[in-house]
Amino acid sequence: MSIDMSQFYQAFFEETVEQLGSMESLLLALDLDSPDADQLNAIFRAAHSIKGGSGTFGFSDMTEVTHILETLLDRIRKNEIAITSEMVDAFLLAVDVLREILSAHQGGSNADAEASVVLCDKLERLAKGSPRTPVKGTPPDARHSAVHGAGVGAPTPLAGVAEGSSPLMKHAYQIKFPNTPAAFPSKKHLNNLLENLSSIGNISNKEITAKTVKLSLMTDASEEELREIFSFFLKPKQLSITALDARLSVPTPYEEQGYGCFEEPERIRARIEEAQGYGLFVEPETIRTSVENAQGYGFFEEPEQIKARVEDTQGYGFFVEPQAIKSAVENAQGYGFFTETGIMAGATMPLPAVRQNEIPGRRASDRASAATLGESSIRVSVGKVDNMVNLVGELVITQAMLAETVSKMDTASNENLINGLVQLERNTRDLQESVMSVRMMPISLVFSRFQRVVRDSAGKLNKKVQLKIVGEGTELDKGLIEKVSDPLTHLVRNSLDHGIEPPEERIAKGKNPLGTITLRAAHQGGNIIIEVSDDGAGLNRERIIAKAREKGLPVSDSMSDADVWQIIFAPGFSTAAVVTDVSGRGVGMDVVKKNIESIGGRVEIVSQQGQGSTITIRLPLTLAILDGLSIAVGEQIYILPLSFISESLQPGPGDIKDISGQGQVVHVRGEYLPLMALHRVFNVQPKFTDPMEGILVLLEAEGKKVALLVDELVGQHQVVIKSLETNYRKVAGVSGATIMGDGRVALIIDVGALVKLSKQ
Amino acid sequence: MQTVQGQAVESTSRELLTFTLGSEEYGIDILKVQEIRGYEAVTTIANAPEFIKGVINLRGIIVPIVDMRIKFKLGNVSYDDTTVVIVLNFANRVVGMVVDGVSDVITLKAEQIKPAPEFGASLDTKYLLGLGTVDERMIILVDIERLMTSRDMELIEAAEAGA
Repeated sequence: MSIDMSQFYQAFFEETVEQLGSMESLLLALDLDSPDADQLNAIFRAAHSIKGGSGTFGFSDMTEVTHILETLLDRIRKNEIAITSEMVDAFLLAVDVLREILSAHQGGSNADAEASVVLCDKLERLAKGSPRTPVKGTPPDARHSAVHGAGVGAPTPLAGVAEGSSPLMKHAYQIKFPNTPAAFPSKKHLNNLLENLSSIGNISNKEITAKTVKLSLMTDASEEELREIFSFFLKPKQLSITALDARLSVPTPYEEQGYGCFEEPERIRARIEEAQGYGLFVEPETIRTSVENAQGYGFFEEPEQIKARVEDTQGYGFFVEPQAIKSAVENAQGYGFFTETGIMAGATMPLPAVRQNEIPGRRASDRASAATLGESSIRVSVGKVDNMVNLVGELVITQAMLAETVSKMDTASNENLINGLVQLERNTRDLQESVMSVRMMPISLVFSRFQRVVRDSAGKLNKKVQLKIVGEGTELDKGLIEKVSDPLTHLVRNSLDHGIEPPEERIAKGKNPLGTITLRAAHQGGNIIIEVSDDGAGLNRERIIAKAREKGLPVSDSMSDADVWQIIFAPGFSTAAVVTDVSGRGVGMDVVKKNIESIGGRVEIVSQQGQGSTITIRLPLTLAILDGLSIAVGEQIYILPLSFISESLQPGPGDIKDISGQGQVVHVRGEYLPLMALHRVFNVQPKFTDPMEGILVLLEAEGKKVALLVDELVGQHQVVIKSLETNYRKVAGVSGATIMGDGRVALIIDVGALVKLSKQ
Repeated sequence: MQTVQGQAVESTSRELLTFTLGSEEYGIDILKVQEIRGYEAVTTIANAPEFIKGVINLRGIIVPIVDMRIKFKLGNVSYDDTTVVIVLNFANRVVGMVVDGVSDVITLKAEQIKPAPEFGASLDTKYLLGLGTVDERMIILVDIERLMTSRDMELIEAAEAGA
């Protein structure tokens, strides 16, 4: 568990600024009378990504705002409510508020908690489509102020709102119930319940762990009514409802925290603990939540206690005593959010021992480095970079053409020209490399998120798992990074769920009860290799074969291991006895394979029963350049992507067999492969029609093998992929085009489509 | 036909590039023309219609080449040093078109343009803007963008082809 999330903050900030920008311009372009569904979706997506990102990095204040925003947008895009100019105004205000919060997180200034409170209020009111009522309006106020806590100067007007609201609520309850699979088979059920609750009142201080759910509820409903709601999910015994003094629950901590806390921490602490709802720091399994809550309330505890707790919780964060916070606030440097970054930073810094008075200084230096980082990198649109990559590709081609021309010239009389061209060649190659590197990003961008996935899922499954990451600095194309992340998530979840055994089983097998999942990335030749390996149970050969039979897939007991493992890529295939929350529905592996193949990669499995399995993904370095074999048919040159080629051969006299009405097959080492003549597929005049005279290239795609007859192999190239569709249309069997060294265009063959053609 | 007439009337004069196909002389809006170049070897595209000769590399852009002589069954289809390709640029697309020859750049005033009759040219009248007369020559005005994006030309995915 040592990943420094702070290195990704800059990326998050940049991306969010961009998202906000596009959201703003989309909002401004929106036609209120007939809003464009695409635009609404784009706005929704922007809000959604900001919510996701801020959630990941623990910026809960942004998550809160975007969540409300998202809810409203969702209703609009589903045509549940019509968009009004008031809403657009509110959305634009939301963009501004989010920008402010963002810059506060970046260390620029204090976030205006009041503005976000007012905004959330407004948005919620719009989402409900009803006139504002103080009852509904209050909770976000309270929540927000709690989050913003120390960062707020003195939002006096809000006190009135909070105070004024409490008499309207008849009851406040502290509710606690177990989060068992029996009661809530999926998250949806729990969400349903929570929705029911929020429809009758206001939920606050929600804590959901793998075992229990705790929340405070302010409502007009009686305890009986509440129990009725729960009766759908839980036995009465499991539910604990404690009535609280309404005045003490939500508004009080808010009120005290907002500005009162620095004067009399003792008194507040006493009151809070009295209120029961805030004894948050007790259960070790709620470490994370308690840390989150500690953002709001942590500073009421004595430093020693906090320190002790921090040690308990494996370095998850740090807390400072009130004086330190106060001084930070007085410095007006926006350190009110100390715990936000603290949680993240906690993982890498030896925190429990941090002395409180050091913190403002540390923060300042962090911020300074963040500022320099901001200045030393620029965000450029991918389009510009792609354009540059294309231009450099042209340059390389031109250079190759010149080199070819010059090679025919007399060396003695053209010495200068030849030397110049050699120099040009070197410069072009360097330029190409550095341009390509612009698109390259470290794979740690993807890997880092798995710490969280592993941690959360392992908790859900009651397994002990550690995640090892090797080679996270390996760089690959940005486009690939985005596309590889979903398949990797599937694989990691599979390993967690099916691979790693429960601790008892591992002990029984004589293994370390702590399972290990390793993510490894490395360069190998022109490829990137990404491995997901676990030391779990491994794939069960018998079970896969049995299951495959059940599903009517063609299998035999004599199949090689590699072939058996390939079965798990079949759509809908799952050997899991139980469908769990994490995986087992059988939609995983075929999607993994399809996604990886769509970006020109391959998936391989190595597995040893009882020892674990390793799944290897092999990807090209970049999407813009392809390793290809050029082949000739008649006058035409085509490019075959190297990743699909297994071998090429010249068939002997007895190897070709005719199957009446089915075409020809070729016999290769015990296998009969369908033979396809490229000249027939593409309708061109070949040099040879007899397979014995030409050359067969064996291609493998989508689990099928075919032998492709071509006239000759020309050479191996790295080619720049160009779209045919820019000026023309999609052509069956062709995935794109490229420009060869002599300036001519060569079509790149879509092997997947070709193999499909052979099936018909 | 009404919209066609409307277009012809609203611009008082227009500059046209004229080219020949067989014995007919055609005019297209010069602003749609990117360049004129000689014919060079193309890369054929599998299973494309006969009049789509293939694609060429135009300074790094893959450009399809259409032979209008084949499409409209006019003129002598042969390729030599004098075969001319008009490279068109419209709707963010670049397309090359082979014609018999490029003749002139002319300016036609609105009153020189008459509505096209319902028949008479090899092109479907829906792609015609009208007939122009210059010094006894009759020039057939073609809405080249409409023609090239039409389904007849098979240059664009069927879904996109609006005309």
